Amino acid sequence: MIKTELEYGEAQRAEWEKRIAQGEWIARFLEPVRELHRTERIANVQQQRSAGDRMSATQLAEIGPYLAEISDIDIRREFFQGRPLDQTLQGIVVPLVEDVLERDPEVRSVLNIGAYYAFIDHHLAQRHPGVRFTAMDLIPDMEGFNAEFRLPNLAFRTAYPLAQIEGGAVAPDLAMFSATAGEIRNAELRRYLRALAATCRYVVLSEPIYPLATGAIVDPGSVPLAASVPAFANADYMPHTVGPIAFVHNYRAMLAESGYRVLHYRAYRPAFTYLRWVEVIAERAA
Amino acid sequence: VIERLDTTELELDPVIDRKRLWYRRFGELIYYFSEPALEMQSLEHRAYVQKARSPGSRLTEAEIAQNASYMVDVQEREIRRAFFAGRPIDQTFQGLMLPLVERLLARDPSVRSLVNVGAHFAYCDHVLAERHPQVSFLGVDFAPNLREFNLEFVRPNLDFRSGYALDLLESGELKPDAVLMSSTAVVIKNAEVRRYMDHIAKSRAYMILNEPLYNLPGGGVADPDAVPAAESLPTYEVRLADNRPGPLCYTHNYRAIALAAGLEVLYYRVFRPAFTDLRMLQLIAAAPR
Repeated sequence: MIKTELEYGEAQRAEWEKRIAQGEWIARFLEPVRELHRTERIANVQQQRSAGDRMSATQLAEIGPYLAEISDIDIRREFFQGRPLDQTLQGIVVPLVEDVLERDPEVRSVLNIGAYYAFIDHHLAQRHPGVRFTAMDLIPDMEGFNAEFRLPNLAFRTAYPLAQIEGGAVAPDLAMFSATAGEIRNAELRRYLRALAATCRYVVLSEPIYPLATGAIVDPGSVPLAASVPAFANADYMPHTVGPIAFVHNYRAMLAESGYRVLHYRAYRPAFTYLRWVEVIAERAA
Repeated sequence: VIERLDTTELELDPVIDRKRLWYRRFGELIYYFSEPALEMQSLEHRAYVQKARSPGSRLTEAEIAQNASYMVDVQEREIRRAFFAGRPIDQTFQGLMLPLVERLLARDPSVRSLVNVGAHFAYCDHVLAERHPQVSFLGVDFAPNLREFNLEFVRPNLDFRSGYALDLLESGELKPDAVLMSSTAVVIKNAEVRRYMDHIAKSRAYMILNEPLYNLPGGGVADPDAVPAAESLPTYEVRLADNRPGPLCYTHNYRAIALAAGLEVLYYRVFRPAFTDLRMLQLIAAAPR
C-alpha cells in the first residue's frame, strides 16, 4: 500500500500558514525588543551578583570553566593561519601597541588583560624581544592553553588581572585590552583604569562596538560615563549557559576620569567586517 | 607608527536609523501588552509542573536534594555582607522581621526559642540573638554547609541546622516556641504552607511571617486576602544568572491559611516599605490561649 493519510486538510494548512506569516510580521518588531530587554535584565543580574566594582568570588569561579569550555584551540589556530593578521579583529591592536613601542622606547613591559588565546601576544613578543609581555586571563591553564606560543619574553598567567594590578603583582608600562573591556562592567572597568593610572603609563584599547538587538549602532562618545549600554548577551541557545555580556562604554570619558589623556581615538568600521570598532591610545597625564 | 586620529566614522545611515527607531517603538508597544501575558502563562505552566512533580503537602526527596544544591549555589557571602554593611538594617527586607519578632517577644516573655525556617545568610538572626540573649535562636535551611556558611554568626544562643524544617518540626526534633519565615513561605507551595501552619497550631507555637508580595508580570499587585486559600497565585520566578529557573514565588492567602489551621491572627499588616516598591506581608498567629 502506498498512501498518505495525514488527516490534515488544506484549510488547516492555510490557517497554519496564515498564523506563521502574521506571527513573523509581529516577531519582526517584537523580537529585537524582547532581546534588548533580555540583555538589560542579564546586565542587571550581573551587576547584582558582582561585588560592586569587582567580580564576586562566584563570578570568578564561573568564568574560568566558561573560558575553558570554549577553548576550541584548533578553530582559533586555523582562523589565524587562514588570513592576514590585519584582517582579524584581534590584529587591530597590533599597530596600536607598536605605535607606542616605537615612539616611547622606555616602555619595557606590556600586559594584555584578557589575552586568552595569545596569538597576538606571541606576534608582538617575537617582533619586540626587548619588551616583556604578560598575557593574563582567567582560563585555568593559561600556560598549557598557550604552550605553542612560548617565548623568553612572553609570560602566561592565570589570574584576575584587577587583583594582580591592585596587589602590585604586575605593574606594566603599557596595558592593553583587546576585545576585553567591552565584556567588563562599567564600574569594574573604571576601577581597572584607576588602578592602572597609579603605575601604568599607557593604555591601549581595541574594542568592538556590538550593535544592539535592533541593529542600531551606539556611538561610544554618546554613552554616559557611568551608564554603559548593554549591547549583547550570550544567546540562550548556546551550549554554555553562562556566557559574556558586552557593553558599549564611553572609553574616552572613562580614561579622562582616571587621568589619562587620549592620544589616538578612532571609532569606525574596519574594511573586512560590518562590526564597528573603537581603538584608543591613552597616556597618563603628567 | 600609525597616523594618530581623533575621529568617529561609524558609517551610520540616517534613513536606516529612522526605520530602526520606528521598528523599535512599534516593537515596544507590542511588548508592553504581550510580555506580561506571556510571563503569566509561563508562571502558570511552572506552577502546574511543580504540582505534578510535587504531589502532596511535603517536598519530594528529589526536591529536597535540588533545594540543597540551589542553596549552595546562591551562597554569595561577600555580596550579602556588603549589602548589610552598606545600609541601615531597617532598610533591608530581612531587617523588617526584627520589629516583628521583637513585638512578639515583648508581648509574650515566655517565648524562649525561635526557629527561622529558611535562614540562609543569618545576619538578622545574629542581630536578634545579640539583642535577646534569653532566647535561643536556630536557623534551619537546606544547604548542607549552613553552619559553616554562617560561622561568623554562631553565638551561645544562635546555631544552625541543615535539613528539611518540616520534617524536623513534625518529628519533634525541634519544638520551638515560635517559628519564623522571612522571605521563605513565598517559595513554598500552598499545601506545604498549610501543613506548616497545621503543625504550628498543633504544637501551640507562634507563627511569624515576613514575606514579600511579588508584583505580577506587568506590575499588578495581588492582595493576599483576595487569593483563594487553597490555590495560591504564582507571581514571580527567580532566574539564575545562567538563565536556569530558580524558585517559583507565590502569593498565598496567609490569613485564611492560618485561620483554617485553627490559629488566631494577632497581627496582620500588608504594606509597602518606604525603601522599595515591593509590598510586604507581616503576620503573627498563634493557637488560641
